[in-house]
Amino acid sequence: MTTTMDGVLSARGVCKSYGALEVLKDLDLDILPGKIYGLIGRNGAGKTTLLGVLTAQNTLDSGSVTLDGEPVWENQRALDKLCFSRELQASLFTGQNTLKVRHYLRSAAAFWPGWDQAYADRLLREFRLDPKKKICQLSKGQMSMVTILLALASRAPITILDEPAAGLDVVMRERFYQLLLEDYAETGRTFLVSTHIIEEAASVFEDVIILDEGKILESCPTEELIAQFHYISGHEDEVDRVCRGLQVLSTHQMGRHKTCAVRGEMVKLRDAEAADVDIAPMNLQKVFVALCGHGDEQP
Amino acid sequence: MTRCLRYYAWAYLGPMAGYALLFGAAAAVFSQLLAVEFFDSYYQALPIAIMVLLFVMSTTLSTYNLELPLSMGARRRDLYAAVLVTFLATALVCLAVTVLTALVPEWLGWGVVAFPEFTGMDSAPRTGVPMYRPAASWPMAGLFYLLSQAAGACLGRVMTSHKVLGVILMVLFWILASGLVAVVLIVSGMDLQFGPLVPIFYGVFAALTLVCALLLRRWVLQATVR
Repeated sequence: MTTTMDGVLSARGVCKSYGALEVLKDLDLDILPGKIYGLIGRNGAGKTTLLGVLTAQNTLDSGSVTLDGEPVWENQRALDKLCFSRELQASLFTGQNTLKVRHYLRSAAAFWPGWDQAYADRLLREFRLDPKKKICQLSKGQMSMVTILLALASRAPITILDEPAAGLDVVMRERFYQLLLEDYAETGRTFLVSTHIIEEAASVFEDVIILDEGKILESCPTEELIAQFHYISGHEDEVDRVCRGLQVLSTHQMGRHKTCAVRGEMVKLRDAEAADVDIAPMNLQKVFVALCGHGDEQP
Repeated sequence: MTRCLRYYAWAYLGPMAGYALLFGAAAAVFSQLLAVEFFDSYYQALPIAIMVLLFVMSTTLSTYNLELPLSMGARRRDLYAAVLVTFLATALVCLAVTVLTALVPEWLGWGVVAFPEFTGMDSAPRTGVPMYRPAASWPMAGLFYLLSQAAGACLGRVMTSHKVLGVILMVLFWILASGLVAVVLIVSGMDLQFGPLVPIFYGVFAALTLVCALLLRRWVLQATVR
């Protein structure tokens, strides 16, 4: 992947440890302009650390992060194009987070050059957020709304959201995806969204990045990834026969009936289609579980 | 750096201005009651109150008032420079307030106020004659205000990574600072000449401030957002 294209955020050989714990391991990643990326990974996979490193909010031990070929670290030109809206915390350091919503809005207006105050005001009304309220007085969902508001109104060319849907009810989650898509259609800016609510967001993500144990397991178009994964089920012997040559990710057996989660191009599945087995597609969540379950998904 | 300065102007200096108004009002009330010894003591303690406030406020500046701008794309070196400028400006304003607080009652004939703990170290003993405050001793209050802020900011940074250690260091700092103030108060009540001590105090305060500023620089330039 070339890094000379405008608006490409690239990480090369990024390593990050906290003491003896290696969180990011020699990680390479390219975030291309004008796409909505989904970042998924299990708890502790290193998602927030990666997002922090990409936006120079976190240090790295080795490697580099560049935007348009220029280092992001301490580079105001690059930092002005990035917005990483983090999950807000009800407590900070020694006590509660007594900063008010308006403190965040005012800070955002001071620091993000593209800040859209009119849009922020509109979202504030829509989300029914009281700017005079302290962060510690907000519910988890309201904190997520502030995060979303900051990210969308920042108008930053590369906007990153960490768990924006956490705590939101289903109506608000739907509204969030709608706002995201509206904004994307209007501005064409790049979004990188980390989430655990995978299936709900799958249709929104143009590309998906799967992070597992500090490494990028997959980074490709969502549809392309999903198309590679299938469940093959049927009689044990028949399933075993058609699975030869395919990458079997997991198996589940009940008596002589066997189900395998497999990875393989459609061309490799043609034999299976002709055999006496059932072939079912996987959704993104199932793909994720198959890739990152590490056996934990087994009862 | 402009953005960072603008941010600190309202996020840090704004609340400070509010407290300053409160102190101003308190000073105005106490200054009218200087004849009463109880209020005289309170009035004399105002610089210490300012110092405590600066210390506490500066911990917020190096914690969430540092991480929030950082999470919104501020550069660390700009933040550090803005922090220093803010500390300096605050110390100068507080010094001006201290000087005015001491001089205004005298000018208006309400009485004589001394702040021996900061400014009267080489002044004449308190024997009823008007206090002599050499101009050279005034900036010491400013320097002490600067040190309070730098120390507060440093300990704030320590608390972000080692909460217990930060609390222990803060308590130690306050024990030492209180001890120092107590010693100065006791010594200033004696018939001693403190002229030679002033440069030493200047040197110690300046060195401590410099150490804190360097430590803060190191921590701010490697600060991360949680």
